[in-house]
Amino acid sequence: MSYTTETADQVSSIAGEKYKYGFVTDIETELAPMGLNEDIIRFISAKKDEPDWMLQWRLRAYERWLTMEEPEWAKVEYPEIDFQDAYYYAAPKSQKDGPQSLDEVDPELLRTYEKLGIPLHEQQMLAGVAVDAVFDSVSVATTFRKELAKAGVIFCPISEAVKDYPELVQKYLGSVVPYSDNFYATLNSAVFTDGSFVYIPKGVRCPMELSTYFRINQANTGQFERTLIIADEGSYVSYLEGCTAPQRDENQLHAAVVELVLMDDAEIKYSTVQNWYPGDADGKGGIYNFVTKRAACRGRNSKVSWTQVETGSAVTWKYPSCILQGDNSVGEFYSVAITNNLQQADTGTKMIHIGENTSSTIIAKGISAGRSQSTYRGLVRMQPGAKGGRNYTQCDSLLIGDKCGAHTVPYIENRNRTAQIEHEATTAKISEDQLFYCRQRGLTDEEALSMIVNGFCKQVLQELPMEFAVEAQKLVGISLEGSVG
Amino acid sequence: MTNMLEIKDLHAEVGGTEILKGLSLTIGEGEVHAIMGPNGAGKSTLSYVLSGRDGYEVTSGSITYRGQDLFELAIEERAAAGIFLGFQYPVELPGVSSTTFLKTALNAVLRQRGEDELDAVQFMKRLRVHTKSLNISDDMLRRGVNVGFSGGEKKRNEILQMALLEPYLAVLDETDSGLDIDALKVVADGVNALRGPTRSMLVITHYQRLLDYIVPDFVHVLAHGRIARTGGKELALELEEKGYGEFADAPHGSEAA
Amino acid sequence: MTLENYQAQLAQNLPQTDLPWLADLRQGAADRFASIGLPDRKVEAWRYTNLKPIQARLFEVGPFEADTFQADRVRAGDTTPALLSDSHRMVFSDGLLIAGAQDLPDGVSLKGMAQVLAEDPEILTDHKQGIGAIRDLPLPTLNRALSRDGYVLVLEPGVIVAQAIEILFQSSTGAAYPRNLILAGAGAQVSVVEHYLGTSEDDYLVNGVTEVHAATGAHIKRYKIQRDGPGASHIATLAGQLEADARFENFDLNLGAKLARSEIHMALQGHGADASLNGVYLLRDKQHCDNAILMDHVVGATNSHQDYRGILDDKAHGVFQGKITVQPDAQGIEGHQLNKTLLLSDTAEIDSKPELEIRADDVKCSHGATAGELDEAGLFYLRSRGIPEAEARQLLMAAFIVETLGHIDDEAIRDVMDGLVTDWMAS
Repeated sequence: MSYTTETADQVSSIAGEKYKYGFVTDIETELAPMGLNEDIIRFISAKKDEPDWMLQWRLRAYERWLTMEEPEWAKVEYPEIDFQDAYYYAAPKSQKDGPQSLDEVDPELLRTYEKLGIPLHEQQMLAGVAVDAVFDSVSVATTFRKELAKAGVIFCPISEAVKDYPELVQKYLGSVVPYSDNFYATLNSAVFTDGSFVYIPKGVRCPMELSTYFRINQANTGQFERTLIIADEGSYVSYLEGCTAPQRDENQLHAAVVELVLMDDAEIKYSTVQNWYPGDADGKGGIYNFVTKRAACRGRNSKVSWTQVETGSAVTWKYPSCILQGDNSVGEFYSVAITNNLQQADTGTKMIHIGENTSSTIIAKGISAGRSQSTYRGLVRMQPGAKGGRNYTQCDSLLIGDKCGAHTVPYIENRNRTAQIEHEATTAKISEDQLFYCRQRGLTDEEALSMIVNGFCKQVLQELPMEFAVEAQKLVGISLEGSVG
Repeated sequence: MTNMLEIKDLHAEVGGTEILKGLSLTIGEGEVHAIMGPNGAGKSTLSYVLSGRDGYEVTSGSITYRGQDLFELAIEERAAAGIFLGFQYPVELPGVSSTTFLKTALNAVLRQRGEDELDAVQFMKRLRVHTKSLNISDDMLRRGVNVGFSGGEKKRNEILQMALLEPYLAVLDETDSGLDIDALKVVADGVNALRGPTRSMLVITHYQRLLDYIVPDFVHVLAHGRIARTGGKELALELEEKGYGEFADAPHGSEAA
Repeated sequence: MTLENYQAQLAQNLPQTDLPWLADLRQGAADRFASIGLPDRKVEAWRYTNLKPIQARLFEVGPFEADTFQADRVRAGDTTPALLSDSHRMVFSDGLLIAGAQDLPDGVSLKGMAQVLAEDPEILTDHKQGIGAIRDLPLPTLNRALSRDGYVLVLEPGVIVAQAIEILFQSSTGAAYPRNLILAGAGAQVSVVEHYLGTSEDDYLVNGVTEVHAATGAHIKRYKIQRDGPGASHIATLAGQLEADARFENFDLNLGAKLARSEIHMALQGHGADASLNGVYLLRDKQHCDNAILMDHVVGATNSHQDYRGILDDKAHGVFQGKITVQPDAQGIEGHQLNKTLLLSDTAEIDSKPELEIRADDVKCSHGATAGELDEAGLFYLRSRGIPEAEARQLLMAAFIVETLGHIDDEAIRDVMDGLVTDWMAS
């Protein structure tokens, strides 16, 4: 049984309960001293045994960060973050030089992963999914590397890639999201501790879906994941990202950076199911999710597809983007963003059309309930050289209850007359009639809501890889608990 | 044997206005009752009160369903207990395929009754039996529930649901509205196929025409919020000829309009 | 000239400097503008429009001599061009009234702002501060400090004005700050055409403010035809407050000026209020036109509708920023918005930002935006029926615009608009 099926079953078996991953693993964790300064960065770099060029890159980013101000324009409000009031490095003490096989992994850790439904056992190979399991900023074990190695696919923690594949990392790190790009990306560039590195060689279709599980454990540890995926000419990879976190009282910061590079005829499918702890019904606790994700379609005929289901986090600020540079390149964005209680989300996408005959599709579904606020913010820009560019955007909002808000802010910028941009947006609510109809057929309020909302999101959910789709559907239902009746 | 339904002196209001003003009605097992009446008399209100819709408040009176106090049950519990409401204007559910909807509903009802739920294969088998007889195509099943359906398709969809859910009491609210004669026949055939000794029906209609095809055991006239007259199927024909004129004035003793 | 000289020089050039409340308002506005200045591109509402070109002109306000305005100096029957054959006319030149309206029906008062301030300022009692939504914005603030004239239209309840009112603002030089006010009593109805015409190629500035108050059931139709000169800058701010069942229809036709900005703030504050804001922008050379709208559904059971279309050629730059906001508890509203732009050249640019901010749930809102070139399929169809390409393009472009003109009920006015659009396409 694949890990995601296990997870889905676990989730559905505790339906109606509070956020299920509300537990903490009692393991000794090595922490850097609290706060953020140049010493901490050197500490992190030394802990990871990084070459000097990497340390210098971090330091440049840190210096830049000191001159920057937190952006304020998103329609989200949150208590000021004290960046000095957190730990920037936490590694499980029991890991010294990394396990050679799963027998060497700390059993306590393995038990944690089992609770999360992550299979680290070779039998799980039947699931056909390799897992780069991340525990508190440090990758603990990577499975199935032998299988991937046969295909020539590199899938390892980025801290390893820095040492083992420095040419690749130096060439591409920061080439899609420069370290100076924005406040959170710059912070990430200074203090990132781990993430995934993927390289798919020319002509290779990655034999299995790649995935990463994240988990934040230690109090006040921000997660600064950095992922870099390079798809060489004619290659294909499907990458899944799913997140969980335990209950906390203090807000936790998550500022990740994901960079995708695509050469001629390459294709990357990047799927995310995000259910970070959203805060309780009073808005206390919960994760702050500030993420910069960008794909550079450098090659001709390259294609990138971002699919995301965002149901967690107290505050979300996230705009997966595509730079459509190569002629005929294609960018797609499918998103379901759900906010309940007091969550706030300001998310969307940017499609920048540069090459000729590029096209982009955006389908964004936002669902607000409780007293939450959900904003879609999108940019579609056709540069002067974007001959024959095409964009179609559809963004729909569903409001549940009269205390929440749904907002749409699309920027449509066209500088080429042969390019066409088409944008549609609608806002509606679930009608009493619909709920009554379903209930009269025997469904409870919750079941009816879940079904109608899933119908609303169908266009997006059907883009997810099958394993994720099931989990996503259940998530959709769970995250709207308590919003009707 | 217990009656299927016993309504005693029911008073109900909507938005502060009293619509049902002391309605009493008894339906035995296996019986088909027709309710006719002028518009605004309370026919739809009766169907909503029976299904438990929010916004329809019962101020006095009682409804006993198969020996049980109906007011104790929530909407979906009434459905699980075997009450089916065929809507006059079935609502649309975009993105929710009919197949998904039907399977979810049927399994919800089975679950509430303590019976085993059906898996995909078992469900499709059961579904096909009914779609065939109602001439419902696979394409229709794939589409969103009622999305883009013609009037006739929507009503056939209602009958399909009724066939699948196997209710004890089916309340059909103006099932014939908006249908031409051919569509009407298909719907009527579907309903008639579901008649049986353990199933009762309450057929609400404004026009007598439907009752040529779904022949009732009893006909009631609902006027000014109560049953003004009861008779056999001939009463329907009489109303067809004479209209509702004689029921225009509120009967002596009821509240002023 | 700066605002430090305000008291000394400019303030003395304004009418009725002896009205204390007015002097206070003007000074307050001057102080405020001195501290905030013109908005730059970092202000979200101005991200696409650069106001530096107007900086130099701001204070070139002509003199206002105390005796410039006198009833007998206002001429009737002037020879300036009229758009409508049948209308009540009023003419302003470089911001000052030169010809007043004649033969107005009962219940209709149409006078110059300076005239009203001199003769019966009590009309303005409830409207001294101006509409809150725009009061503190930079351009309206500057208008408050420097406005010399404008029109004041007051309609008593129930008055239905059969003929349209046509107001011509002709400009050739300096800076003009028309400040206009429309007060429509319950159930009153009127059509007003504001025609801005440039008579020189100078880089003059017009910074106008129009405030509209529609009482219960009033129905106001306002048309703004902007044909300023090729070097001109035209900034216009319109603020409206609609009470229950009031209806407001606005149509903005933008043809002239090098830099144009039309900002509309509409508040639907009574149940049943309805606002229809439509416009057309036809731009070529290096023209820049920015239409910014904020449609606020304050209470429930209100409707709004926006339809803006543009055609851009050469190096023109069009901007559309349409925002619909729905306040909490404003249930049962409908708000729709559509923006379509045709690009005719490789160097034209359109930036469109249709925004929705929804805080109630029983709402039906939609917006749509398209930007691109003429439909190939349509062109091919017409050509395959024998119509030459140039003509086919014209036909399609005209069809594109005609749909929006269809929102104009008044045939005479629609014909005028149609004529102006056709002329533009032919030239």
